[in-house]
Amino acid sequence: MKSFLVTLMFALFALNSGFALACASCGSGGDDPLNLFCYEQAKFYLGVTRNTFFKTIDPEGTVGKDGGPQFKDTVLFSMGERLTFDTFYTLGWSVIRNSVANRERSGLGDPSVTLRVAVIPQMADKPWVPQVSVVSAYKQSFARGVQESSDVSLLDVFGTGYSEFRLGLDLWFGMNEYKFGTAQVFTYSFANTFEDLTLKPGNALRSTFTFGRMLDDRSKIVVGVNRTGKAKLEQNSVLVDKSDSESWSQFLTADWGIDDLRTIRLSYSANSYFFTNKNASRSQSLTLAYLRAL
Amino acid sequence: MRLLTFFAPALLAISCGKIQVNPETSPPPAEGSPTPQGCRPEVVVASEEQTRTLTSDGFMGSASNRVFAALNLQNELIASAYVDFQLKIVGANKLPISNLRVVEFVPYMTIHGHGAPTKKLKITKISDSEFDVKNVFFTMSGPWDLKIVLSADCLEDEIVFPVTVK
Repeated sequence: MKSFLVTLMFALFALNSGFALACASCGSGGDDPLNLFCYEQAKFYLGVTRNTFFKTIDPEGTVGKDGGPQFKDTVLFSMGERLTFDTFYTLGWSVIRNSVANRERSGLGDPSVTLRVAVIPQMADKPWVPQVSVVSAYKQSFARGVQESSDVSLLDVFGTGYSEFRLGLDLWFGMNEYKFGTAQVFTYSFANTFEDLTLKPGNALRSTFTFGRMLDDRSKIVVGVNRTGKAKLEQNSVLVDKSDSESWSQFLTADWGIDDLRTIRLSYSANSYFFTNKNASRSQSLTLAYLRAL
Repeated sequence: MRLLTFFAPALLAISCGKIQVNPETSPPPAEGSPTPQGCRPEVVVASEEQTRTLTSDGFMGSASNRVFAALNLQNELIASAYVDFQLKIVGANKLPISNLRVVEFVPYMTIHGHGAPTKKLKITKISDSEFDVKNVFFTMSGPWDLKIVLSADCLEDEIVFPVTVK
């Protein structure tokens, strides 16, 4: 009953103040496309992403030739449900289409589940106290990774080839007109065996910094940067020299609230263009998404 | 009795497969070359250090350092295109190895932990020590390893040849 009243209070507040939209944490930028506002019980997300202009960057940071598909189009369906006032989970699965000039292949991506717990909730009367969430996620390796590809353009690659567990903190100052957030997420990849080789990607740390502004009661714009550093790959328990990686991405996301329940989102991301990038993939992506609270 | 003493080690060696039955057709090998026919092949597994021995004339040493290979590249290796080259494989004395065969040829991007499709790969032996390697495809640019598993009389060996793909 108490949580219902608190939820109702936030819902009423949200109807009257655009600043309450900040309740959904954006410190992690586009890593978790679906966040539930405090007053939302459930929500779904349908996003279409086109990823293109791929180039490979080697361990010395030299940008190479195009590799793999020309376009990677992803349709991501995600749904989230609130478990308690502080906690919600989301499920996500994608359909991916890889294409080059005259060929294309489609397949399912890797499914994932995410759990978010707000350990410090957003408080309207203390706008400079950030909302702090613990984020944990698991991604099951389902789709074919590059390790098992038999296509010269890697059109049959729809996943990473490894299951992953993520754990991190998301911090979001979202109660003011100008917003700021950061997220630090650690990723552990599980080993997988391909023929006679057991491979295990190194542990990774993804740091995200975001800055945003409300445009009106229902719309906001967020820009951000994230850095991913990954330790060396293990091959049959031996570390592979020069296999550690670093990549930086910059993103711009605009949310337009159609009404209190529906939102259109447009997001652009430039990957591995600026700062130090090594053992990375350069690309640009554009996402158009529809979010609907239930 | 003296005859038996003389022949016993020879018979024992023949039964163990250590020497050739007809010594006239198989002269003693030069030092560093694979041992002659009839012996049990020695399988050598490469270690990181062993597969990085590059001689001044561009030959890469095998896991056992008894076999050396060199790539004859017509053009630089480029990603997302089929490339051809010649492969020369010799013994430590730089002479051809008898009955040499390339058993396996694997382009492998070790730093990323993946290979490349080899469906169209074709290897043709053009002389005792040279092979035409056609339709090698590198799916992306960067450092790759060409893992070459070869066999000859009494030897199975492995050479890992690092190449840079543009």
